[in-house]
Amino acid sequence: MDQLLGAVLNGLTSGSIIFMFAAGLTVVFGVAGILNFAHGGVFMLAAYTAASILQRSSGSSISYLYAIIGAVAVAALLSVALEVLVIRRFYQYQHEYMLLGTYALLLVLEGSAEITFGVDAYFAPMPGWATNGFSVGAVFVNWYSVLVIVLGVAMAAGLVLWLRHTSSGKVIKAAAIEPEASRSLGINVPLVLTLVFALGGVFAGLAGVVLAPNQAIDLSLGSTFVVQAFAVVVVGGLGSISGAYVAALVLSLANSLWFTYLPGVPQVALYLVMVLILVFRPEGLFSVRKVTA
Amino acid sequence: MSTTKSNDTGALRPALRTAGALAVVVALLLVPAFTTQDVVFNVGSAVCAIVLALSFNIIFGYGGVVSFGHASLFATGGYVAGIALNNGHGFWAAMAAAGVVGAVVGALFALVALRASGIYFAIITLAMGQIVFVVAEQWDDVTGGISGLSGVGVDSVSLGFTTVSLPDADAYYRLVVVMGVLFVGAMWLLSKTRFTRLLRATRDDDVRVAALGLNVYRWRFVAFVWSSLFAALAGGLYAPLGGLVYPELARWDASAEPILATLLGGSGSFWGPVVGATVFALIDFFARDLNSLRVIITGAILLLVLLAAPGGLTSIRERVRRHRGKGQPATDTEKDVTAAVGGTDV
Amino acid sequence: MKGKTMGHSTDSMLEVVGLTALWGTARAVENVSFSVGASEGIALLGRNGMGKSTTLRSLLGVGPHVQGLIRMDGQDLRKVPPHRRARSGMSLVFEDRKVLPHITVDENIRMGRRALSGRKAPSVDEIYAGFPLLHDLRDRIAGNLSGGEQQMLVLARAVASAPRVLLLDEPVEGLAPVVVEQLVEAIRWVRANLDLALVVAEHKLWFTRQCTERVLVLVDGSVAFEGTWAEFDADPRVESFLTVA
Repeated sequence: MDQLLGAVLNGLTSGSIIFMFAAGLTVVFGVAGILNFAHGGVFMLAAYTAASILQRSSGSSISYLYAIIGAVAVAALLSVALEVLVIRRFYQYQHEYMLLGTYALLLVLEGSAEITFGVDAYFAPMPGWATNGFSVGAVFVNWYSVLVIVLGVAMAAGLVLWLRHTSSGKVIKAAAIEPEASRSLGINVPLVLTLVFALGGVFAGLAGVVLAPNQAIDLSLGSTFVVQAFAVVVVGGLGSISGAYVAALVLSLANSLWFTYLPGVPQVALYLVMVLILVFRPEGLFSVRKVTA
Repeated sequence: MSTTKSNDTGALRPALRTAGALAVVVALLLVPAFTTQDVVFNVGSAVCAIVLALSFNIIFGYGGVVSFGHASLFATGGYVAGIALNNGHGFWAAMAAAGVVGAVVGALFALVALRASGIYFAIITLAMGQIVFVVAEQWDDVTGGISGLSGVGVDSVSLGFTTVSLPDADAYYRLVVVMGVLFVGAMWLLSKTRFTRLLRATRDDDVRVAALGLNVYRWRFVAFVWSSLFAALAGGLYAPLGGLVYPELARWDASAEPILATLLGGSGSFWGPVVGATVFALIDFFARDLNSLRVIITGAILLLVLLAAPGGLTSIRERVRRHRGKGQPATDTEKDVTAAVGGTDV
Repeated sequence: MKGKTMGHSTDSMLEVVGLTALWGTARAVENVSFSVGASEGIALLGRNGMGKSTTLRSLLGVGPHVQGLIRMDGQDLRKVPPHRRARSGMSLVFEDRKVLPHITVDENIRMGRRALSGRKAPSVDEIYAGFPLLHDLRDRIAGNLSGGEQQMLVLARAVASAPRVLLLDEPVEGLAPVVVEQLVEAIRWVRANLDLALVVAEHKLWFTRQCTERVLVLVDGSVAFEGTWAEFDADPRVESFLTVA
């Protein structure tokens, strides 16, 4: 029982982080129709930014605020710059070519990260309170996990509500569903696309800050996360935020349950479950083509 | 019929082209005589990368779907050949095992992934490739785990009437060149068949092809199995070259390499992937001491090609020719379909 | 307003000079010139594939690469992006309608008001007065409406932006005759209540005749005839322009 509870807790925690990362990918895919490898690079650079701020200030309280501001700013600006300078030119291509174009950007970002931050991993301190917590049976739940899970829920709910019920959310959906009609309604569609990338960058930045104290930040971070997040986005149904949230939790739970109960067997749960889901629902759990709540 | 000729890439005369190809093969065979071990290994790897890129292009260039898991098929071939050789089997048995297992794994990939198309196909193959990677990394007893399989080598190769011994790495390298040329030749012949013309037609207009009563799924399935077979053979050939097979050969970023090589060279022509893989090998070799810059250079070149010449390097000459009003664009569904279905092909 | 202060003679609200539109290297529209007065309605006729849609899309800037001059109320639109053309009063109702399927009828109409940028427009209630059908459907999700209802909705949505130039691309394509009658009523209401230049691309003569005064016929992307309906009826060539040879 305790073993199960521990596995579920781990699954929810890592699923929530993957969702924060995947949320940006989903919104960008839904609106711009682009599955963006470079998102992994943006996320990695945000995590590096956060970790290097925290490492330098050895974890004083105010430094966490600086880390959030720094990481979010870096990620959002970088995301916008990539869209305006490069990705914008890919919209006319087929999805597969866009995938490759953004992969090329990921390579450039990874190389740049190596030049800027070097090959040694960064470690960010965890704030003292986050390592405290409470016990459920024999399982210790720390506040960090609670915070991450709550943030994940809040972000999913916030995005869904925003897209469904606010006028700016409706404009974004309009631009996604009917770009030409939106233009004839006076909506600046290219600007909407750029803003959506900025939003994706903000999410990547937040995910980077949240992740930084929990894991060594190194050069493999971007590509590791981007592949898991692609799994989440595709399994959820491309463009569906609630789908991405469900998929992130399902895949991460599968992963941690497999890890707990089948320790000697190769850890293929995430990909295996993904493939199985796609065999039966080739367009994902919540199959929609455009961004929806 | 003259239409069947229009798919050829160049205006070079056949004789000249044969001479050129022979010159390249001879040059490749002479590499060990003039260079270091390091260069020999890199050129040998490039030959395997060329075979892999060409195998990828069977399903991408002709089939029109992007497989993002091809490196895992290459790695499968490498592991199977490595295990066979380390257990005392001969070169041919190892290659045959690599090809068979690779084709079976590829068939499994195709069964699942071909239910989808476009980006879903790409992501499903990526996931299946990652399964191969994780298994390779964690099934320690069989694959050697993170450290991989080492000590893979070939001492001799039997030719039926005689047995040629391969005393050193240079000798095995020459075998790689010979086998690589055979594989490239086989794929070239495959590209000239009615099968490939039909496949190309499914890429350009699968609805129309389906309307003609052809089973698009079946054609793509067969293409994927052929493609997997050659990818695995390339891997099997590669294993003894460095003596080492390791999990990262199967990881998704390795799968990006044949794709990038194909895009760089151009998927519209048979020789495109060859050009692309060669250029990549050159970049890799000359930028090997630049570390992080190497990745940036690779990424930047790709971006440039995608933005400036979306058809790849070999499409540039095509475009120049078209611009001058000589010849037509290379592919044409109408011609492919009539040539293939109408049975007027050679 | 701006145009008048710049000193253009602005009998014409929309002025097109030498419009040429290229799909790749193929010319879809070649050297088309015409102008539409501030409260005039013209019909753009021609068989399918003669460049009617391309012309309208080029006017809003969502078509292919374009050469030539397009002026609205004296303002040169060449460097103006589509959404700004919409905000300065050009509205295109697309051939395939393009309602925003995820929101309600009412929200669709209100979305039209985004492009107002200061112009005085009919209130939403006034629009419902002109489109009584939509009033009954106001809380329905637009994607669930019938084709005729959607056509009404996109027209109402365009009207909500108080356009100075209204472009309708094949508005009655695929609609039942009884629905077309309603649409004619709606267009007449729009013309009576709003001062706008109207361009209707449509090959159904009996429809366009009821809502426009002048005719422009495109053949192979070029203007083959221009004149009033009376002149159109008198011209012996027109039959050959419009029927399939």
